[in-house]
Amino acid sequence: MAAANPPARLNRSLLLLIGLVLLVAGAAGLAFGSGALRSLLPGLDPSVPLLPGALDPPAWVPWVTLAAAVVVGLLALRWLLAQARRRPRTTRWGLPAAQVAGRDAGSTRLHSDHAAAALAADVESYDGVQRAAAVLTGDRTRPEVYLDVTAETGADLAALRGLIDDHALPRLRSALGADGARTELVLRLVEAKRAARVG
Amino acid sequence: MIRHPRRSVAASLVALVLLAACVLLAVAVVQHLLGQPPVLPFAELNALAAGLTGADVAFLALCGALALVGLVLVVVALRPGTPTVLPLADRDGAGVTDTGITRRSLDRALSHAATGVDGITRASVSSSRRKASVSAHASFGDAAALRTAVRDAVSERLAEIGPARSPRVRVKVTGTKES
Repeated sequence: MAAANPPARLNRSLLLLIGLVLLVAGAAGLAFGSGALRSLLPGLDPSVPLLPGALDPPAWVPWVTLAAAVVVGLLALRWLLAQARRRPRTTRWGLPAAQVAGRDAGSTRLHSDHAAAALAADVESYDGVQRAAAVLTGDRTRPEVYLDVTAETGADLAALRGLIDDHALPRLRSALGADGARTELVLRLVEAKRAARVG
Repeated sequence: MIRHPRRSVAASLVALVLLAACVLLAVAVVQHLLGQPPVLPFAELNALAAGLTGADVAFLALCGALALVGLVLVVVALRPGTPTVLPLADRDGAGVTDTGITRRSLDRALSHAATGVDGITRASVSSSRRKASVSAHASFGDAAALRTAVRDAVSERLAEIGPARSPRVRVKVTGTKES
């Protein structure tokens, strides 16, 4: 599965990467300052100043710094914006060209969101389902299906899962001409809308 | 299927700090290139670093702080955190759909089952893959009997929902005389 729960994997990798960089940098600084590195690299003397008094960097240094700051800044912005995207990336599919009277009658395009909406509508028609949302990704003939179904607390979950497996998904597969579909289903339970507890 | 928290708060925080630092640096460098006094006092920073040696406490403290922040981020990244979605058992014969239930709604359904027991006025459940802890408040009745009744009700609801691994149900009843 590419990314079922974005941006969880991205966050995890980047936090780990940045954490490791900071950890290694800090630890190296500590080792250098405490003189622990001297046995390994005798040239590192912690008792000399960190920088010479008058630093005169070459003319390209500001430009490289500027470029690096802009690139890293844009990546950070992108990372920040990625927090807003909570669903897998969808795609546009081309359906096989239809043959009408022996001639190619053009191609059909379908955005996976529209196929997903039809699937969600099917699931919403089942007993006890309050809301359903679907996302389809991947290849049209072997899509990955992410279903998010909100059912009432008293709903018969086994029957609901049976309907999804034996009715909604086969309908989707036949509509797309897909061989199979990997499906992830997340169930949520809420109190029934009209249920009033007496007492 | 099991899903873990996205760590959005930590990620947003780090991204924001990184972005702010990059903007500040870029602005300062542009000002430096234009010959204006930069927002980051490069000359003063240089003088500061020239006055410091690697053995100075300030330098060691800075490195220690850096390493600590790095360690915290590594721990945040590696700890899976409390799952947000717990796996449900596969249905017999149909193995293609990977199903899970949000932990929050599992807790809600179980506490709903617990409050269905006569005498229980409030219940809260906190579940994980291994354990479902029920804490129920009773207005009257015998604590031991209530505990059994609540455990039965919760276990029955659990069986209907069908988690991949049945958690052990632990019940605590408060509000009766015995407790």
